Amino acid sequence: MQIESILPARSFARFKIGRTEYNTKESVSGILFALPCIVLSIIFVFLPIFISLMYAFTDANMLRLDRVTFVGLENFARAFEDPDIVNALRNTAIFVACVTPLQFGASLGLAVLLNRVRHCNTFLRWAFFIPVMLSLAVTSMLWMNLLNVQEGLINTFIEILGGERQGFLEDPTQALYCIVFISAWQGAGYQMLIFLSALQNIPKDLYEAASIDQASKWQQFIHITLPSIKPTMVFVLITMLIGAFRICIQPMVMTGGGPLGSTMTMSYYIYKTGIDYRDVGYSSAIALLYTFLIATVSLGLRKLLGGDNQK
Amino acid sequence: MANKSKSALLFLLGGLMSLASCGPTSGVGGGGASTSEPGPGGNKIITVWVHKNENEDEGKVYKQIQNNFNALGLKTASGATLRMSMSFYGSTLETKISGSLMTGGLPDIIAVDSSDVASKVYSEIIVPIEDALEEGVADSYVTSVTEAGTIDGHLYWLSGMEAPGGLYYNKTMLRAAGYTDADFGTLENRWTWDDVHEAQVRLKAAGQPYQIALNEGFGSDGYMYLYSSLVYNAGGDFGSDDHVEEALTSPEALAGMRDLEQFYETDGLASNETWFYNGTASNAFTAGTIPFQIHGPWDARVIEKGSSAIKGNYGIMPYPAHEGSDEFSSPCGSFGFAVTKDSSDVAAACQALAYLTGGEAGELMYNAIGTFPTNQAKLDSMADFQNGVMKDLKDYLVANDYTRPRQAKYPRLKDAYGEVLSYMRNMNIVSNYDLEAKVREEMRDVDNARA
Repeated sequence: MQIESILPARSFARFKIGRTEYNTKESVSGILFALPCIVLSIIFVFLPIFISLMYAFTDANMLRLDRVTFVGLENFARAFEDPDIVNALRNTAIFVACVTPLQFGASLGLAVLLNRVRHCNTFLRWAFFIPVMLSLAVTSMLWMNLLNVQEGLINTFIEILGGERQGFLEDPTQALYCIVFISAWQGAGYQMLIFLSALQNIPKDLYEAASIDQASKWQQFIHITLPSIKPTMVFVLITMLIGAFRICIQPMVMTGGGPLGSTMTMSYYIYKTGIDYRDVGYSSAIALLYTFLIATVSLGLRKLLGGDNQK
Repeated sequence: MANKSKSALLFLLGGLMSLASCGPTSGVGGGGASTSEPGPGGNKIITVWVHKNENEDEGKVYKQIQNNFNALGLKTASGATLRMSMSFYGSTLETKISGSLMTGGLPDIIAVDSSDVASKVYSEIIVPIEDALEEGVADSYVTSVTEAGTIDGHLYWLSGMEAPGGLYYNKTMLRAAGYTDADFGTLENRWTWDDVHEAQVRLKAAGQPYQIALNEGFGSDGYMYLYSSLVYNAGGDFGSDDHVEEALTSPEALAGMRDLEQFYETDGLASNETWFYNGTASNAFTAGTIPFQIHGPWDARVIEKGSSAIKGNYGIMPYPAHEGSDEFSSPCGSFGFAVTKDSSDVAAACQALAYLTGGEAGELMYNAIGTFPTNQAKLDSMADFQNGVMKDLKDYLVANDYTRPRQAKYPRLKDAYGEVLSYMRNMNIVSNYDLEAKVREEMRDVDNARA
């Protein structure tokens, strides 16, 4: 069946919006292609955001969604007095501050390395990318066993080398940093591929010209490589930052937010409040505040780094 | 272009069809929630939502219970044949219930965890059943079940399975440290927590393994399951909604919690040693690696039904007592069932509920997953419970007068209590360790939270 047969002939006229002229047939086709995505976005993104916005001003409880009372700004006021939010925000800030440079550096470093290595290149790409393909829950379980205090492989090695066993995930002073390391290990492979793609698009003649001018490798990296991949770096940094702000699964699986709240992050706290404690109204209010915070940080960073102006 | 458009249409249709197919999990007899009205001599369908997948062992048993019930040909008061229809939602049951509150159409019966009865009562999802149950039915259950199902003097919930726990001990190791069989604790002469720690010291001196698996790894649910008894056994309690700070900072409650402190202290140990087992092996006790563990009935079943190294050389003492107190609380609690507000025939639903949680169902469940029946007559008659560790566990179950806290804020309370016990576990790391201050801080948050 031809598309013309189901659409009226006059649909294929041309029309203008501003200075741009459009073909109706192509526009309809484009809209049809985008429609499933739009429908899914409405159902699973915009509708939940809208519902969440409504619930944020109510006392909605998961078990009493048929009896919801408007409470005005009570949930927001409560959020500003909640010591658990302060703790979760602090943990999230530490996590973001640590994981972003670590993961960014690791992914860029690996990409630069792989861009130069000629032997086993495909194998190495796979090796570094495999953690990305594994389920977060699976890798979390794996690391829980590796980091176990009494019988974990890492503590066994530490003891063999003459060191003292470490608490790792059971030690409130170490648990969050363990999760930082595990998250960076798991996520770096993905950004590495993005960086690798950007590195391979840098014209070789730039490096040849720099070599003729006797620029060192480090000078080439600083003055050619980094400026050339700046838009990619901004993109990676912002997506990494947003991903870091959303950290939830690893603490949920590995520590349950403990020990002593040392790995309770904002996303996990929002989940816990809404799902475990069924306080949907309060959870929605925190989620909105947190979304606003992430958006502000992301936009601010984008402006700061000038990501918009780089082509 | 035409091909592109055709592809777009197909993709769109495919997407819409896949969305349309996202319905509820189909169950036996359909996932519908409504209760059919009985015609004269017709069928009256009692719908049940179960918290297990029908491929899991527990789910399979529920399916069998449904089939057995339907084969009985029971009649309702109006003469209709009573039938049961189950829908299996697994872990999504809670979501399904929440959704149904918006759209209407809860089933007649839903599965509810023992600790969640108060929330469901407070939310007016389930209704009292004591008047609709046949005479004597409620009395046939062990006390921990009727206690857990009773809120504000009304019975809302019943369960056909229980999970009694106690102190597992390795006889061979303890004998090597100089203990005789007469020294081991019984219901009449229980060991206290101090006795357990003293035994650890003697075991260590005798060159035996000495650690105890406290099994806190269950998370906060596990803390409450295994360690709410600390508070009860010392004469304390968990108070009521909005009053947990006052209850848990009482001298009795705090003294009960402090019973556990000695296992986290490091007196008499090298720097890399602990009194509690901190390894990854969930079978450390059943493999004969450690002499003690606090646990539910599952390991006893593993040992009895399998070929464990310690078979015949272990026992289960009652849950340790608090020094100077006669109170006896033992780990307990499990999933059960309740009749919902949307049931059009509570009496008929109660008939089904009584069968679903009765002796026969309890025995099926015991055979499949190892939980204990809650029907007293069944506990007295089943061969497995007439001697050995299973009899001991049965005795602890029958003697237990307590249940987990019954509060609408239970999810918050269990997390707060878990946090307190976790604080205790980290007593050597935290600065200015102060248990009472921690309890006060955590419980105040519970009191201030919305129910």
